[in-house]
Amino acid sequence: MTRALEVRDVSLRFGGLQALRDVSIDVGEWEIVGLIGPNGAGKTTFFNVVTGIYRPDRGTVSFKGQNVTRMPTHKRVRLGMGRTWQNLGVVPTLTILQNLLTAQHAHVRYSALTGLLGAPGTFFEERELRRNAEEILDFLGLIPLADEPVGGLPYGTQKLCDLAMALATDPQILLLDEPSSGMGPDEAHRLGETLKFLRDSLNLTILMIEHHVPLVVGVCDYVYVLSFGELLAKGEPSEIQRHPDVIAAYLGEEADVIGVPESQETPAGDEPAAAGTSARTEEAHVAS
Amino acid sequence: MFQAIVLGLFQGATYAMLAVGLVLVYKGAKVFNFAQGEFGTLAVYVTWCMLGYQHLPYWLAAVIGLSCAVALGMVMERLIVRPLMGRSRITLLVATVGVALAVIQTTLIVAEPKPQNLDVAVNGNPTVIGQVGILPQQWLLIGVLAAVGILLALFLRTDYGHAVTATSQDAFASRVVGISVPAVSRIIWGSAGLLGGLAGLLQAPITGSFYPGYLTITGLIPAFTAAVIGGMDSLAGAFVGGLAVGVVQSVGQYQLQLKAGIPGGSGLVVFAMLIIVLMVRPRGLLGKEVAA
Amino acid sequence: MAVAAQAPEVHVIGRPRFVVTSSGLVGRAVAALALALVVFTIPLLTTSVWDNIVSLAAIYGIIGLSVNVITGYAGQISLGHQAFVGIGAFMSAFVVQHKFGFVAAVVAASAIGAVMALALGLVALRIRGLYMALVTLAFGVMAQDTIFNWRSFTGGGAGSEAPRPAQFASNESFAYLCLIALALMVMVDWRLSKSKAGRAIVAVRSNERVAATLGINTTGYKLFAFAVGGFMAGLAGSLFAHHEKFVYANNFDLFTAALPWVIMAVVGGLGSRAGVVIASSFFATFSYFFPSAKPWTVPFIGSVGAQQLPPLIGAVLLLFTITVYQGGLGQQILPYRRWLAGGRFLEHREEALGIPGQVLLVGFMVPFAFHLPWQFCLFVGALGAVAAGAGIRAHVLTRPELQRRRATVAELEAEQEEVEHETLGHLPSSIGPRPRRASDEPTLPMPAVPADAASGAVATADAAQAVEDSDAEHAPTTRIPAVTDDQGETEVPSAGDPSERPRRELGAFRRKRGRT
Repeated sequence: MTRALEVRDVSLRFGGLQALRDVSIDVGEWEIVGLIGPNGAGKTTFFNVVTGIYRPDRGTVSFKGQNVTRMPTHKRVRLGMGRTWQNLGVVPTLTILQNLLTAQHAHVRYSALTGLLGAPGTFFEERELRRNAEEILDFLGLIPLADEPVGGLPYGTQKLCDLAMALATDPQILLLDEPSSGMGPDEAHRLGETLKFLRDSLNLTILMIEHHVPLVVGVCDYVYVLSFGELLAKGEPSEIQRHPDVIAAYLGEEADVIGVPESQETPAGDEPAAAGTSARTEEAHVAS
Repeated sequence: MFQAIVLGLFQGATYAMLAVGLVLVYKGAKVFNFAQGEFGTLAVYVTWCMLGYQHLPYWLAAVIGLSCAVALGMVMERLIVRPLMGRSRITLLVATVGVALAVIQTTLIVAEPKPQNLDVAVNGNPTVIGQVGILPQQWLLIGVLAAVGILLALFLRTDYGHAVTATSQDAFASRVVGISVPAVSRIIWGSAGLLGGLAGLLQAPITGSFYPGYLTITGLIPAFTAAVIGGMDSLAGAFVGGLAVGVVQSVGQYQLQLKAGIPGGSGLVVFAMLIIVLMVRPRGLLGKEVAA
Repeated sequence: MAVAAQAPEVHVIGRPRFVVTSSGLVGRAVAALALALVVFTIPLLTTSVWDNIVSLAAIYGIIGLSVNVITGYAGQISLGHQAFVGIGAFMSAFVVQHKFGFVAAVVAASAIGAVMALALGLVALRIRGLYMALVTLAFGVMAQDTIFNWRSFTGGGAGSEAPRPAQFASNESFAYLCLIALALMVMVDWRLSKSKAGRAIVAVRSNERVAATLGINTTGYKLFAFAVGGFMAGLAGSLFAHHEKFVYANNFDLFTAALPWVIMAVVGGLGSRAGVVIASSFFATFSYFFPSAKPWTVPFIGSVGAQQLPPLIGAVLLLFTITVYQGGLGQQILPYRRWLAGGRFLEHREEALGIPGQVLLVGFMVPFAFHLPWQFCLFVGALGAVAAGAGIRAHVLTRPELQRRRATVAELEAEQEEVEHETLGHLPSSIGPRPRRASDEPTLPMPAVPADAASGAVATADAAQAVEDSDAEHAPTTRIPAVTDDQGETEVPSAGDPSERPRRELGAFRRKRGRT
């Protein structure tokens, strides 16, 4: 299994607070990997390190085999890292369509100066950017709102816009920061299906921070658990649900399992896609 | 050179007085008040008017002048600051610029553009320090400055003082715990007006002449630099910064302009100080936080 | 249902949009042409004195645009803008004095304006917000005191001579030169805002980290904004120098230059091209509205010269714009801009209400500029306002959505359903409880989807349509069509062997760089 993202022994300290300590995470190509943990565990900080907003005190980040630890954020995006934000990574004063045009910045073929001077090529390029933007909006069902300023739209719609923008950066890996926040169970389920579809049709790898347990269990191939800046556990979702340290971190010592046990889960016939089909377990079986 | 230092120290007292007002407004409302100089100019003009046209005794004219400055501060708070409370701080800054301009233009219209003179508050023979004659007025300025400093330090330790700090940090939370945010706001801006008025009123007789906007033109940028150097959230820093700016500016003026012939040496020196402080230690000498 | 979609490569994305009729297009074109004609024939029709005023208005327009780029787009307040304009002015004079020609002078002026702004931009990378405002203020004053008094460069207090080139010696020709320069800068600004650079600058201003994750080089574009603004300012400075034919350091004073320029950009509406240009021209010419005849005597204050009013009015306008009329002139003229660009004239009720007031103001100002008595101007304005009011009222009556009325319950319900169907188009919405329908199917028959790409998008649409007809509570297993292999069996996509993963296109949005 080729690794899309390899993070090794990343540590980061903010003044007196050790935000991350020796965190190592692997994300294989075309996997959907979940990153869970209690609030304040450092998940978003980890994302910031991976995308280059923070530079770690120690450790490396490799993307597609390339060491990007010293690379500035915008260059990593050009390599293929897309990201959504917990606090909505949108430009509120622009319309949804303009946001999507902005998101394609890395792939625009004319230079800033030529754009300024109004060279003919820019008009054609702009039209293509617009077409791409409308395509993505259409898929996510945001077309009717395309000309609305994002700032005035409801939270869920802004979150969709954020996802659309991340898609518009034409990523190979998608880092999603709590994509299901603010969603009810049905919506979250549909989001999971959408993510799986995106993974298939766009050959994406997905690493997502999540709190929504059924979504993690239903969609993720592999899960990492972060707590107080350290990696607490890793494994397949079903293992993690029963992992004693993880349970203790979330629920205290008395509980048995995180989330509702599989036998009682609703939507009918919904099988955790990860069970037994993960490349990692095959690797592990082969190795042992 | 020694003269330059002495002159600078006393000039710095004015900057310190203005800077204290700036810091107070910043502590109270997290705003840079570009109209601080105009509080002073207004007080001076009103006092001069009362002295010259109404022939009132000096102390009465001064009181009226200061009251006008305080009134301007409170009017500004009510009409400009309060409606804009939720907006970005830059917007508020531009609004204070607008107020400063409005006051300058109004004084230009009402009074004549030509410079006028204001009498000193206290008469007497100048004391001589190192071949520089120091007027009693200047000692008065230093004395008032010291008094203001002590009073403010004491005030901030009281409950009202804590209310001021609380409001600047989180107006909503302050309201929730029962602090009257409008009242605190009024106190802050009124006091800023008073401090600005004192700065202008005490300084004008020393410089000899005043004209519309003089305090803003000659004193505001050094005062801001002083506040930044001392730390935008530190009242003690404002004092230290003011004196520092005064001295460095005076020395710089002497070296650059008079000796090396570089025009506008004093402005250049102050600008250099500002840049250096912001690059090296943005929170200033005594400040605790960096303003965003 | 899906098999029929063998054909369409093109999946038409429908978007509710207002489209202009052909007669509407003609009307707009005529209006735009008339406007351009009026502006460009003013120099021809007026005296030499007014030509000079026109030049100044155009120069101020360019200055306003340059402030708009730095403050409106990039969000960096520039209280020392006189530095950029002034350095351009003095450089232009310097070059011409050394006999390098007018073109070289203009180019050099723009270049040095850009360079100086770039230097300030580098400072802005470290120093933010309010402190940066302070730095720009101090910088501007320092530039005026020190740089512009540098004897060898600027002639010190005596000023610097900047003669006009032979071709543009007359006021009329120079006015045209300035108007053309303004038109060019408007075009540059237009292209800036519609291209990736403009969007990047706005994104960086909004949130730097987010902009970085969109692939934007935040440092580069911050500096770019300063450079473009400085370029425009330098150009304006050059024109200003040759307009005056003599440049002095105290032309670039804090109170006569820097602050009014910030005011005119703010009053014009930061981010609004047309508003800024109009407001800037207005600020340049405003003092000429007032006759320089005898001053008025106001009780208790004494004599008030008419010339003293404009700066005060400017400051008051600034305060009004910040507090009440946010968005400045740009917001007020939004209906006209939108109409000229091919959109609707009115979209909100508030816009309709504001128009009579605007007509009153303009109707008052135009005759006033020609020094007609103010009573007459007021009459003209009032007349225009009444006529405009009647016209607007008639127009609003034809547009039900602009009228204030209470929606009926039925309308609200219909709106709710419409929202439910429209948002999250292919994914059923979950806004509010879904109404139960009589014919509810517990499960959704799985559509058989062929594996070729072309039908992918359409199949998605069909499947989604089928989904919308069912009740969300019995959510089917997979709504997105699953991949089928040749045997027609469904295969749950998994993170399996890469070479076996079938590739699917998301309609026409393809990976741009041939990744497998």
